[in-house]
Order: sequence, then structure tokens, then C-alpha cells
Amino acid sequence: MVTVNFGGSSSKARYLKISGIGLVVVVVAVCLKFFVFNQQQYLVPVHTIAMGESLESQKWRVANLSLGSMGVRYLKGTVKPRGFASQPIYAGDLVARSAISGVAPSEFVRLVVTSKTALGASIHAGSIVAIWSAARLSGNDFDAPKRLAGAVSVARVMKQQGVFASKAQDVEVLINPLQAPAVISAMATDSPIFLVAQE
Amino acid sequence: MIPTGASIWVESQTGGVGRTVIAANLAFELAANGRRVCLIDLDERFPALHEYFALPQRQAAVLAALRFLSQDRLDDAKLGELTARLVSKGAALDYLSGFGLADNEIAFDQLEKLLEALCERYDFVVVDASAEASEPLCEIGRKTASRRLFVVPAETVGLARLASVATDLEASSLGQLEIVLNRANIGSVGGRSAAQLHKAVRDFTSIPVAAVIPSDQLFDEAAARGMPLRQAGQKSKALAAIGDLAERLATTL
Repeated sequence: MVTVNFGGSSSKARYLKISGIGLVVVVVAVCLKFFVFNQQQYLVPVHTIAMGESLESQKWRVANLSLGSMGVRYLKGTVKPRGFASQPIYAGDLVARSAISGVAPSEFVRLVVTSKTALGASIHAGSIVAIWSAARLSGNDFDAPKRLAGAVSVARVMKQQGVFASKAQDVEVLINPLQAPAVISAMATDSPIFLVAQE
Repeated sequence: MIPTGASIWVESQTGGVGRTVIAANLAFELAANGRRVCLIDLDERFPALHEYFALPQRQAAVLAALRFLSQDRLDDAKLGELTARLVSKGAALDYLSGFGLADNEIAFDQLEKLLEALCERYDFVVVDASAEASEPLCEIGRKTASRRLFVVPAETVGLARLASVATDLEASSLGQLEIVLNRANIGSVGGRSAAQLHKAVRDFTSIPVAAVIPSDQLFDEAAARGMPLRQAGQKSKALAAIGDLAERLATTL
């Protein structure tokens, strides 16, 4: 077993703590330096940002925090926020870099597709999926499944409820316009559609 | 063996609310009470305990444990190899690192058995669960948790968000859910008192408030230095609040 000791209060440490005012002064100076210099500024939205909204047009405030190695995940206060929210960013929360997309929402087409099968646990709002379909030839004859679109972002999963709910599930997706015709064609011909998680 | 330990799930609706920090420090405070504690990272999206403890490399020990379990080979020796022992100021716990969303081969039925196996060996199993956890993981939490602590930031947006999901939470709570209000700005200008926060929560939900953790500079300092709060500062108000919560859990579970 690996043992990680974060340190303890040994007698030597206790001796050092009380061994002179000079040492105390040094410790205080080091602590002051830590508090003053180790804090970093992080951006926090004033209002909740909906998925797809531009970050540049938002109001921001700066929060001073010391997050250490975890800080790299969040948007720093020293940079001008750019890009678009790839998931809702709530007011007052730190902005995870994973919540920012460089692609404008106008470059997407929103489609609601019906997945033939129940969705996997890893498919939810924000997931990246590929869309596959087996073209209906005639009656219950189907062609081999083909990948119609990749890097498709799931905007929301609409749960079917009630007596007539089936395993099929409606999913709103953001899709590249170039890939949209193939998906719409599959929907129009009543070919079964499947969503496969990519990340 | 009959499970004797209790499992405490620390959950949240969204990321960035301090769930991981509370889970880690709650585990250490339980350990400081002389209990055998295992801290396990079950955050499917962004496992972060290894980052909080500044451990050099994330290894999906949970997945390895599940594999051993499925082969009926998970014994004390194997578990000892997979866990890391974290020691801080006389408190020691075992840490089982987590898995990411990419590791979607996770066998949830085995995970439930793993938690049972851990409860046989430890007094407390503290679980750092995902924000927006998958349904199978939520289900395991509902089935196995002795107590579920739902971490909410103690500010207007956090409370409003809690109000919006309160009905769903109550429906799923099974009497095991409690709210932890984190980063409460108590006593400062414009801040609310703990009693006010309790009342604000009582206005829209019957779920009890387990603790109000004050906003604390030492919290950030501990995270920056990759160590438990008890290591960074014994005089931390946040640590005192987590210590009280640990003591209450230790006596009631």
C-alpha cells in the first residue's frame, strides 16, 4: 500500500515552532507571501449563461481563489472570455474550460431525433455522440447500419413518460448542417436511428 | 461477513460547489474520531480527489477492485495494494481512486457489491459522487447509502437551484438525504446567519440541513497545498463545522 503522509506535529516541529522570534517572523512572511501571491483571479458570470450563448457578451465578475493544481480547469480572470457555452453555466459558478466551445451555435442545426433503443448511461445533455442508422429497404428489411454524423452534441434528452412510453427516446441534438440532410433523410424514411457515445 | 460499516454519499447537483473538498475532509474528520474510513471517488465525469490531494497520478483503483471482485479475488491483501493510505495529523484513511466517464465498462452491479465489501472492512465508506450522476450510480446511492449529503452553495443562486429540484430530491431521499450548505458567508456585512439559512431552506423543503460550512480562506489554502484542511489549519471554522458533522454522523450511524 502506498502511504502518503501530509506531515504531522513531531516534537522537532514543535521545537522549531517555538525556537525564536526570528523564525516566527520568517514563517509569517512566508504565509503572507502565500496568501498574497498564490491567489488567482477566476471569472464568474453575473447571470446564468444558457447553452449556445456567446461568452463575450456576458457580464462577469472576478473571484480571488487559490485552487492550486485544480485551477487549470477554470477560466482565469486575466483572459477575455471567448467562445460559446457548450452547457449551461450558472451565475456565481466558476467556468470550467470544458463548458466552452469554440464553435458558434449558428454553425449547428438543432434536430430532435428518436433513438430506436434506450440510451446508454453515458449519453446525457452535453455528451458527444455519433448518429448511426440502418436504412429501411422494404418492410422489415434493413441495410447494414451506417454512420450518418459524428461529433454531434446532445442538447437535451426528452424522457417519454406515461402508459405508451417505449424504449425509444427523443433527443435534441446540435449537428453540423452538412451532416443534417443524411439524418433528416433517415428520419423521413422511418429508418431506425441509434446514438453512440463518442466521449 | 455482514456489512457493519456505514456509507456516506456526498452529492451535488452541479460541479464546483465544494463537494470533493467536503467529502475529503469529512473522511479525515471521521478518521480522526478513531474510525476506520475508506474514501472512494465515484465521480464519473471529473474525478478530482487525486488532484485535491496532489497525488502524482490517477489510477483507476475502483476499476481494478471491480475486476478482482468479479473474479472473486478481492481480499484484504488485494484491497491493500489498490488503496493509498493517507495520513494527516494522527488521522489515517484508505483512499480508492476513481474512474472517468471514458471508463464506461463500469459494472454497476459489481460496484454495489464492492461498496458492500468495503462496508464489511471499514466503519465508514465516504463516497465522492458525481454531479449529474448516471441513473445506475444514483440508484446504487439510493440503495446502499446510510446517509446522503447534498452539497449546496449557500448563496442566492444555489438556494434557488435547490428549490427547483427539492421536490425530486424529497421523492428520492428515502429519509437518508440531508443538505450541507457550503461557503456560507456568515457574520460578514451582507451575509446571513446560519439560522437564517436554515429557515430559508425550511421554507421550500422538508429535507433537513446537516451542516452549514462557513466560507473559509483556509479551504482554498488547503486545496492549493494538496492537503486536508486539518493539516492546513486547526483553527478553520469550516473544519470545525465539518468536524461537528463527522462527530454527529459517527454517533448516529
